[in-house]
Amino acid sequence: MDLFIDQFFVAIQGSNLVVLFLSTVAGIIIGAIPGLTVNMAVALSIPLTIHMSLAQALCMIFAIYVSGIYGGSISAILVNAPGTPAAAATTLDGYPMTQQGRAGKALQMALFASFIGGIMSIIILVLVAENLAAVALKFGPAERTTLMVFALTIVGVLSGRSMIKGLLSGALGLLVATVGVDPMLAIPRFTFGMLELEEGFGFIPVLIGLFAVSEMLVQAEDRMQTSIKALYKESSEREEDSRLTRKDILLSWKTIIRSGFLGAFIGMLPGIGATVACFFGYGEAKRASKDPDAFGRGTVEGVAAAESANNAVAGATLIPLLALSIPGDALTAILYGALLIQGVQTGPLIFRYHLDAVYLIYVTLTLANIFMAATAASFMTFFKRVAEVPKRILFPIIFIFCVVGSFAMRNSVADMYIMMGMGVTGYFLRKFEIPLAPLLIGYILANPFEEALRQALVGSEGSLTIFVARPIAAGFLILTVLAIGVMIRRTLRTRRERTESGEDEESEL
Amino acid sequence: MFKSINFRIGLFFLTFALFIIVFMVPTISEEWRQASTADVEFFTIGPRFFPYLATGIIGFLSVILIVQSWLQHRSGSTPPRSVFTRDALKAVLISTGIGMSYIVLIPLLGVILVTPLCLAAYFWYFGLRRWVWIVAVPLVLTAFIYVSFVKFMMVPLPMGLLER
Repeated sequence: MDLFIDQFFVAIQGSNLVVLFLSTVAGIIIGAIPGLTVNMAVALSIPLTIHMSLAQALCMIFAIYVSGIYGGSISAILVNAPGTPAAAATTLDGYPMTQQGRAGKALQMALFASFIGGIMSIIILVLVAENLAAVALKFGPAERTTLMVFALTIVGVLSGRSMIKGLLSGALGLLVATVGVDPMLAIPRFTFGMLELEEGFGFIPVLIGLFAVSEMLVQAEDRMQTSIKALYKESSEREEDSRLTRKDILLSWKTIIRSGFLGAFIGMLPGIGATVACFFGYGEAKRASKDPDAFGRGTVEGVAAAESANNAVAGATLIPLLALSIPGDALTAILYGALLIQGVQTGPLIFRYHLDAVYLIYVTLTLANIFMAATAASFMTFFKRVAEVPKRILFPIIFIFCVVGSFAMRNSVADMYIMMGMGVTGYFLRKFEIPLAPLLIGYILANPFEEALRQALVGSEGSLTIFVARPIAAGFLILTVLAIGVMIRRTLRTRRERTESGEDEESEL
Repeated sequence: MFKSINFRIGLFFLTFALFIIVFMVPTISEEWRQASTADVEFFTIGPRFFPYLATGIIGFLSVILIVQSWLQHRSGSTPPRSVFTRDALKAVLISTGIGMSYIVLIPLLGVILVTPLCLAAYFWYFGLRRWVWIVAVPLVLTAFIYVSFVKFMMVPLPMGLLER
């Protein structure tokens, strides 16, 4: 308890609170602008954290993460264009509310539900993570190998429309990570005699290239002519429709709690993330509602369900990262890198050797939620205006920060080229609907995966039976096969339904 | 079938995987096998194992994509087609070109000189014509980068001509 209190006082130091406030403002603005993703924002913040203390770095990353996910709901409600994919379900009722002149109420409900969902997920994180880590301490190389096979498969299977492309992306990530010195025998691989490549592709250039530069190239296709301002519609808002009332809260509180739990549960599973959570929360709220027909026509319950679920993912998604060192999505993969830069290695041992860091994570995540609620409530009108800033001004500025940020980590010119290469690669992968998250997670897991796999095989003298002879390892393999089986079955069923309904478009395996 | 985007993706990645397996992985040194001084031979796995594994998975999944495209073609359904337009590709190429020029010129001329030029080029290409965007904003942003990275975070950004 003393350690927890210590970390609380570390987190609330003046400079940390300034970082929290500025990052919250930045996160909401970036989340509110369609096209600027939270992933990109968090990725760009990593180079800035290099020279910060752990507390400042965590404040910055969590504030951008939490407020960015909330910020997505602003444009989702106002212009029917979700600022982040996680706010996609918010448009279903949020935008109809704006059309009815009730935008203020929708925005306030989104904020309220996001805050409650976020706090619920932190409570679940605190309760579950340490217990899960205690189990994970019993894992040997065989268990770690199959756990990573399971995580990579789940992320690949669930990340995009096509299971094959998701898995392909994960395998590409594994291959990208083989550049550099072999982790066991220290023999260079694919370095072609270049010293810069011996440490492998740096995490920051890979990350920034994949998410920020590729996004800029996608947006550059129409020379960034799309104006967000043109999408805004004036609404004639009445006083009682501009704010959240006690009646609205009484109507929605059960939905908020249910969606919060659902979002937290989904957040715990690798590879699913906030986008699925918001639709799941929305669907369940509709199913349980006394008036399901009101959903989709502008009900506060719909906004509450989607927003509570997507923000509840934020804390829960840290559970596999902290306890098992498995990043469940692109954002936690980015966070994993940020913690490594700060010298904190996630995994079960973090609860033994870096408990201070764990408590600091809990505290800063809670503060990020509180700052999000306070800042958004105070400056709502300002955020609505800033969301109109044209992309053609923002993206070139972001590109400059991408280049300088890539260089800053290792003072390496090669890293700038790697960043650009990954950006162009990321652009083509996006165009071919190959998801980027499995690539990043494959890249991050590659080294621990290779070490565990080789250790397991050396221990068994090359026999693969080690992976089925040990019960936990075999369990993960069974789960992997089941996940693939369920996905194939679901795809075939969708295909059959489409054929029966006469739709021509083929669902991809 | 050959116009299907998935067929082309599968073919590209299959070729890529074969290239890595045939030409690239064999460049990884196997000298560690002779370097062992232990009297007793022990089982170990070399540095080529993991690249072979990752590339093998890529090759296998590419074959599935190709077969899937073929099955779609046989069933007569509409396969996903090309996602590029000429104008979009041209815009992406020019944006990449400006970005690459920036990266190439940084070590030669330095961040301070090249950053305003790069920003001005981007703004101009994306249709901004007012001097505020072409001159003022690039200069202010360059000053901000200099102060925050060089002075505040002590990052030794390449200064190029200004260094001499």
